[in-house]
Amino acid sequence: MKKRTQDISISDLLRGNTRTLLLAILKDGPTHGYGILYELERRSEKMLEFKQATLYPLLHDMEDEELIVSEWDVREGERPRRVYTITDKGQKELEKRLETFHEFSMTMYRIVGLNPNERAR
Amino acid sequence: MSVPASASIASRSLSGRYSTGNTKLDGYLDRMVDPLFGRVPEEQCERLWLESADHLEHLIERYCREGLTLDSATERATELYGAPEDAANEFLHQWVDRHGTQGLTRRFGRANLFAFSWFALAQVFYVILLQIRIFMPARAALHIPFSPAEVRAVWPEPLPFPDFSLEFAVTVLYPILVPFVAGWVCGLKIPSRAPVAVYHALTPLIFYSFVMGALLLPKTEGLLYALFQIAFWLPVGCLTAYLSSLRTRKLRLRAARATELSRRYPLEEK
Repeated sequence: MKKRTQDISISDLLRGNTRTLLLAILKDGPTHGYGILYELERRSEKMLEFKQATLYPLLHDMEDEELIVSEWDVREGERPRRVYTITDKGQKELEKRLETFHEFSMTMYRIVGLNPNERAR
Repeated sequence: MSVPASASIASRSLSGRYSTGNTKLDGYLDRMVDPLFGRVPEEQCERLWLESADHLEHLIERYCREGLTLDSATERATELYGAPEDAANEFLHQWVDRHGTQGLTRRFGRANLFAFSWFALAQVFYVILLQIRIFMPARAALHIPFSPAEVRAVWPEPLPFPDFSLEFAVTVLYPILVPFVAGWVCGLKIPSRAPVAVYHALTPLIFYSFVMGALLLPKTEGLLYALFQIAFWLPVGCLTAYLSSLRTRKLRLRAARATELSRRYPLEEK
């Protein structure tokens, strides 16, 4: 029987960390949906591909959890735009998530025997 | 954080809804939001429409700056955003998950619990009827103008009616009507994935019927009833729920368009 190999991509690793990334971007200032993805793309140097349509349900979900708040930014002659801002609860959640992520990544490095600055061959 | 300026200024189309001024984009956004009407509150539909429009306009503007025509840029932006039906489903599923409240509802799903309560109620009632039919003596036969006895006088072969009492009529008619009525009610109250909810509700009930049927042996009514549920209740209940939910969504969409959106964004006269 032919053995199936499982290719793992950056998108697979992104799962579970999306909220951390969104909170980290909003920590630097309020912005709207496109602004978040624009910044995500810029900071990752286009390495991260985010399924665009999934952004808004996720943002609404985070808003329900009071990690972020949003309000309509209404300007004359322009369509109203929803701007998202991180809350205190969101800041705390981000810190917790970053701490967990740091522990996880350091453990991974220790297990695979890599230096954090070293690239796997 | 710098963000490119919006590509176009919003206007309102004659249809009474928001418009980006880009027909292709408007069509895409409408296809995305239309399936959500009647399933999620209207302000959520509106919010998704506006946010997605803003997002896509930024993408289009970016592609236009890279040298694409407006049409090609729109096509590329909507491709990147994904199929409108997928975007709608993604939004709907997340919304339903978020509003699953607590306890039993969160564990089993509101739709499943609703469907289960209707079909379970029908089941309990029918089990009582079956018990009466099996264990209690039948009452006197009904006299109607064309009773089996009178029909048999015309037809030489005996008809397959061992008796024709009120209990017999009810025990035959009731299980035939149940999937139509319960399925329809489920479709009215569960606008999203109603057939799935009916399927989830009926599975444990059918299992229960089999157990009950086995316990009633050598009387076979219980097992026949379980088989009847598989062959009739399940497909008819799911189909009726599907048709009913489809009709409900259409009605809600029509109502939403006719009232709320028209009120908020009244038609502009040229």
